[in-house]
Amino acid sequence: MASEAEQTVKLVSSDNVEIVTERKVAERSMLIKNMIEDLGAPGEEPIPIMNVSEAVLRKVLEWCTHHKNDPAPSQDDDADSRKKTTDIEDWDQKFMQVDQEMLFEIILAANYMDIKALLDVGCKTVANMIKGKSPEEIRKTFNIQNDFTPEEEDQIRRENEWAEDR
Amino acid sequence: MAEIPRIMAGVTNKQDRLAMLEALVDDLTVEERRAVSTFLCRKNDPLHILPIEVVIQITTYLRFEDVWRYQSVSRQWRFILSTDEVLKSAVARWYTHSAEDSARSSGTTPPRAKAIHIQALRTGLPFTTRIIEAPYKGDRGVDVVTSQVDQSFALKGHRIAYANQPFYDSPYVTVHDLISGEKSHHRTTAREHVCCITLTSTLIAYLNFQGKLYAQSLSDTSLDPTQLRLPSSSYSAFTADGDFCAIAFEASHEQYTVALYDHRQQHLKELVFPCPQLHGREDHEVAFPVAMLLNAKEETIDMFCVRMLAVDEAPRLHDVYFEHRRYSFAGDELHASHYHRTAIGPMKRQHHLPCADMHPTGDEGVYLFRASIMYAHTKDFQHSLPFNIVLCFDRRKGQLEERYFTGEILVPRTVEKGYDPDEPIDFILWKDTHIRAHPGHLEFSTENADVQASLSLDEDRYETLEANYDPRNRRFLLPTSTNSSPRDHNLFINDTFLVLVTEEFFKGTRDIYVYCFDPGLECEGFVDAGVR
Repeated sequence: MASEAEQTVKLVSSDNVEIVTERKVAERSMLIKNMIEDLGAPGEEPIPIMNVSEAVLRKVLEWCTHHKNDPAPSQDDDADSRKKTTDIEDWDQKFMQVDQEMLFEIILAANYMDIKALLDVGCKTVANMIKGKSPEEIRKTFNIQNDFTPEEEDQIRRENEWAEDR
Repeated sequence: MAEIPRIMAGVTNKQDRLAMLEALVDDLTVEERRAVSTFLCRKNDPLHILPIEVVIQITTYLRFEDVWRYQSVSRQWRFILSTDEVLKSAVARWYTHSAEDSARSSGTTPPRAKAIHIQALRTGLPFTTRIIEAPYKGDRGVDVVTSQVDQSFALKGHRIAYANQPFYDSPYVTVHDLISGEKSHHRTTAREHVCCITLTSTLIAYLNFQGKLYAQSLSDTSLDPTQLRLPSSSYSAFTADGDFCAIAFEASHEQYTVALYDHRQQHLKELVFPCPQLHGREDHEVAFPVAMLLNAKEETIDMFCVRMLAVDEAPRLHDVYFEHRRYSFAGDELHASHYHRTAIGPMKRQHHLPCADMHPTGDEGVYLFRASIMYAHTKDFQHSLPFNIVLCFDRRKGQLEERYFTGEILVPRTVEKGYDPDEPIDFILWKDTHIRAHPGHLEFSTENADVQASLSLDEDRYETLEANYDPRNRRFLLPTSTNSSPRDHNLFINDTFLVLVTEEFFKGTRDIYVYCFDPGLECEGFVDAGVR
């Protein structure tokens, strides 16, 4: 039997493409890690990743490969929600320079595959897209329709009037 | 139904696809077009696409104000951003200084009420107010020995403390509970005036000009205060935490002296720290402790000093530095760590001593400083002006934050002929609100222009807020009923109260204006703020 470092696993995307990857890389995903433990014999049986398409899965695995040697996240990181920064390390920042659709797909995949660190980076990236923008700029960025009624809008406009740049 | 995507799939040219889409949309009714927009919106809006737990995680990276401001993006955004879960975390992120700095524990109010409370603080729109006329009868205020901005008043949680100095009797300190309205009086035994007061949630402690420390538990005020003789009467900074007090004295060339008092053990200890020298020429070097932070639990003292090096004797020019050093007093051992120093620049020394006042900021353990270095002038200034620098200290890291540390010196406008008594004084930087005193009003301004944008105010309050807003300068004004010079004002603030103390030394009068920003807190004697 191959040592753990050399083991590979077969993943199957939602569009039925098989991707072979290093076990250590795949195990950044808690979903896969738990599945491998349940299956017992890694490498033989393909693991279906039901909600993730090939393109997104490859992208996620690219991130996992780069971060395969990262230490496991500590529980404390989670508790300290008070001093949250949106700082993202350079490699991750470049990695996240994708179109909006792909960005959301990556976040959904990270959420589904239970990759906390990737989910964090994704959330920070979205937060950075929002921060510092005016509500109108946010609507433009995400193509959001202003669906308030004229009365509601008038009220909101009145309340925001004196906060606008002049 | 399935045919349209199939036909579209066969067309690869971008222009052609767009033309086809346009043709498709042309045929739609107004209602259908609106529906299409909604579909498209759902394809792009993270708040529609992503699961709610992920959306909530994203909102935890937004600033407190953003959570309010972005409620105007769309109904979906308004719905999500006004849920208790999002508000709770936004409020927690803003509101996380020590529980001692609030009149009630932060866990007891619903997030929405707390958000309104925070907003009231940011915009200077209190809910209730009261004026306390307190006897003063001081005649020594002008040559106070202490270097502190004003230490004959203290605010902690829901208590204030102030000194009363009758002419022919020994002075006493009054502790006034703002919620219950109860007052307790704490006497001294000497005629000497009380010059510094500090409060914790359990202890009142004060110093007189003779070098005596008085301390008393707030839980049992029937006993006489404990009295202790201090090594010197030349106080330089005074602070307390829990049952501990620390007093720093004017530094000598070789050492700093700090007296540490443990009220539980009723024990006073003198701590002597060597004074690190920059140039080794002791006769040219002098250091003033300007502020201290005492942590009773961790047994540490953070000391902040202004250090001056004489560089040129003739115009009395000094190189000025600001420095921080942490001392640990666990057991009988003394350790120094975390040394940081920054150069402020050359200044000509004048008569006034440097001073600093510290305020908690929005993050736990982070303090903002306004340090008035001194009344001085540089080569470039013709007139003597107070130099204020703003510093940020992160207690957990034990360091002065470089990012706030750009050496920015806030200099008031140059006055051609001496001081203008109505000139506003930079008083408080609190969280990120800047509060200045003017005759007749206080000015609240914040670097975050978005603070104002909130949808939570009722009609009356909104109109009051609007009336007090100066859009040109992005600031709010809180009218005060005092027209005295800002130079006679002192401001104190915590998460619940703003206290404006006006003392006119020569008239011997003192008024204390207390503003309450917590909408749900009932305080004895307080009336509707009636801000117009």
